Amino acid sequence: MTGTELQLLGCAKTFAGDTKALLPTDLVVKPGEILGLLGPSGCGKTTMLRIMAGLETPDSGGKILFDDEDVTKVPIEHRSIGMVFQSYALFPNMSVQQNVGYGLKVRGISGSERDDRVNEVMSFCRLDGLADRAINQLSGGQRQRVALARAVAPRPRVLLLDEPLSALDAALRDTLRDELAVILRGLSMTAVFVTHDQSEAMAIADTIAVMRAGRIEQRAAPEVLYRDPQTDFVASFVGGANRLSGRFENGQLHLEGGTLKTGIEGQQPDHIFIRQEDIRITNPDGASLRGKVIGRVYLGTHTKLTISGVCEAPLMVTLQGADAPKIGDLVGLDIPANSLIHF
Amino acid sequence: MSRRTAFAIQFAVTLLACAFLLVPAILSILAGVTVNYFQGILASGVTLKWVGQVWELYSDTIWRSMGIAFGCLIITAIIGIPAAYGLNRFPGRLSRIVEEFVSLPLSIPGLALALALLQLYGTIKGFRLSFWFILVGHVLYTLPFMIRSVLAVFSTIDLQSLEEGAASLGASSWQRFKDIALPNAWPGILAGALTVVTLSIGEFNLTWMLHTPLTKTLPVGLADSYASMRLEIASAYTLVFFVMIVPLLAAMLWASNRAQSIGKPS
Amino acid sequence: MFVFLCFLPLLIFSLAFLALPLVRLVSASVGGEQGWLIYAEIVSNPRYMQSLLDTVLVSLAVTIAAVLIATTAALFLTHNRFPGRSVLIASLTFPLAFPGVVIGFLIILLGGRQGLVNTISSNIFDTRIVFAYSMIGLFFGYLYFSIPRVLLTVMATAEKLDPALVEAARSLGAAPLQVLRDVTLPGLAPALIASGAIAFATAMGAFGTAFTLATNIDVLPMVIYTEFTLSANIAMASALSVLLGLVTWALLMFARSLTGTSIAASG
Repeated sequence: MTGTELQLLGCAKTFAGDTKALLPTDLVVKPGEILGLLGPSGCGKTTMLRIMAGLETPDSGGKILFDDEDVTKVPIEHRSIGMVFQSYALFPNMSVQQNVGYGLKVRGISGSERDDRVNEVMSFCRLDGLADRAINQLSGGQRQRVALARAVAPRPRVLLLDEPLSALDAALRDTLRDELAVILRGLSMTAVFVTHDQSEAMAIADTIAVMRAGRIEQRAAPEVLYRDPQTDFVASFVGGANRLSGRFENGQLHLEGGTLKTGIEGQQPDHIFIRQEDIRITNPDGASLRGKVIGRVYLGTHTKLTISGVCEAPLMVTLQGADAPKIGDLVGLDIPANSLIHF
Repeated sequence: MSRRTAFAIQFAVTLLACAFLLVPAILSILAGVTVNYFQGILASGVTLKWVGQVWELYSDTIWRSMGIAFGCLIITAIIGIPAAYGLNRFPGRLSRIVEEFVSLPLSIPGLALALALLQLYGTIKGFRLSFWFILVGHVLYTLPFMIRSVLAVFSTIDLQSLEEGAASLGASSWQRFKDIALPNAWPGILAGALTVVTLSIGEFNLTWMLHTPLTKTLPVGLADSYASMRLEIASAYTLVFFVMIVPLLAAMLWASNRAQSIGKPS
Repeated sequence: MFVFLCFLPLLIFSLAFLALPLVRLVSASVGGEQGWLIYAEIVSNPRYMQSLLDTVLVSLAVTIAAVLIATTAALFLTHNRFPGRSVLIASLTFPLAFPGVVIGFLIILLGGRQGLVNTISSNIFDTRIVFAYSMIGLFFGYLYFSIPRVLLTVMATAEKLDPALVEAARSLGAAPLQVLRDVTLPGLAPALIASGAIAFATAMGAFGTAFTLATNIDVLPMVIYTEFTLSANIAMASALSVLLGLVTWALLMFARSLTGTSIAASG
């Protein structure tokens, strides 16, 4: 892999009024790695990205390294990063071509060298034929690709993306997410992107750092995060898993809607979760765990059920196919012991 | 140029501009309360004698200006608020032309407007010699501000939908105007009203041409005192003007900002 | 029907006190012996043309100076937050509603015979500096009332500019001056054109300041005033007024067609 290694050492950020946006954090992004910073709003992910960019300085003691170079005090314009902004921040007074070429222009690169690079990047980002368009003539997806092309044209050491898909409407987002994943992988450039959408993070990132309240809760590859969450926050935020809370006794969990054999030996774990798609619906007669369907959303490829009376919070269940029970139906629930997540 | 040099230059320009605007105003305020300006405030001392003399000589202009400003407010409200409502309800070519036309006093110098009024109505003595003549000039000049201020609020609150909502509930035209449009336009009316009063009290270009010795307003009185009175009295008179206009201006800016921030998340 | 009633007061007022007087002004301008040729006389008369030229030059100088100073201050005040910032903003906007006469008086206090500048220069350098009663005084007077107007317009626009635009330019390697040239100033362009046009049109038509400073400053409004009151040359005063009104109106329309925003002169 080519690219720059990015390191944060003990980076924290305290804003005026003593708001701790980011607690002291260490983080290494390997050359060519695509890291997703995932978390709810206010978790510190954008602050961390802006520290990497040089738009915020970390509290004293924090350090940012690009390979072995300490860039902590280097202002953004000399840091050689590429950044895609949430609003895209395309310059409205310049054409597409001028936007993409701007980073080369301010570096004093002109003539055919600039034109060649601009053309190369534009065709890589599928912007052929749009060179002379004005920014306000572009669709949302085109704007996003112009923002990306502009950021990568000067061959930055690190590419930073702030919620690159959030400005698009939902219908477009899924297509462009997959497209962005392909383009980013093709660049083989160290990249960090911020998102609050777990499917976005999973589709694009090599590894994901899940953040909450100014800390990284867990950093792992998407499948590891999903299969083996280390904290209850990761389990519920990333997988949308259901928390099962009840009385634990001899490997059995006593819930409002019945009893569940957990196969867990010894002490009661702190948290027990079950993923939505691991629950099976059975006949209520004779089932050891029962509940009532209070919500049903048919989504084509699958159906989402909300079931009450099982434990404190309503249980969310995802079913394949269309022959799901109706609202008001009493259902039995089969929760396989080996699908439980507990820690 | 380094970031620091750029900062220093910008800071210096800002401070110089502040000094340029503030220093003469402070000189004027000090002169108005100095016993003898040529000896200096330290040598001769502080007095309110000049303010007292201004009150004796010119209090009529102050009352007249306040009266005209108030009258101007009433008339611009009566003409301007319904007009803004009509312009919003019927946005079209004709409405734009009407709006353009009544906004002409914003782009034509007051002197030219005054000459036009004088030549058409100057011979109707009862009108020419009364303060109504000045009032007409002030309404002409301030009306566009009232209309624009109210119109701006109407377009940000999406009056169209509110009106349709009220109509679907059975409200008549008059009820919709009274119950929906007026209450929602209040921030714009307030901003417009303060602008009208502030501008009316400070208006000189038109008033100078339209006034008679018996219908002097505050700024006309000021011009008179600058030409014929000693510096201390002129300054004391200016001080009185500042005391009236600066709070009004502050209120006007506050109300305009408030009216402009309607519909934006705070 | 109701909407027609809403327009009625406006229509009556504007017809009686705006439309008819303006028609009367134009007809008065051609009511003299020369008729429409009076406009040709203006163009061929060196005194009027000189006065028009002087008015345009002083207005242009004021516009450039006011835009430069006020934009610098506006950007400084938008981009920096510090204690006392609101005091600075207040000190830069309080003259907004001052009439021209008052500003003339303030300029006399600054640059007149007993003004601050002359007092200081006489006492310290033993040289007299008096600038109030001339075109220079007029320039400073117009600058005095233009700075607050331009500042408010530019600040309002600068605050609405997406800060990410500046960050984006910096992330691409642009130095501060390049950011200013390529991002900030183009973003401010509509506000600069609009406020510049207002400053220019206001200076063209202003009367009170020149009136207070001296009666022999031959800017166009003063010439109109003199023609009307002293020479009682009604036709010429009217014709010059029509000319002045057309120039300022056309200028503001032109500026508006460039910016798409509605703008107005005042003062």
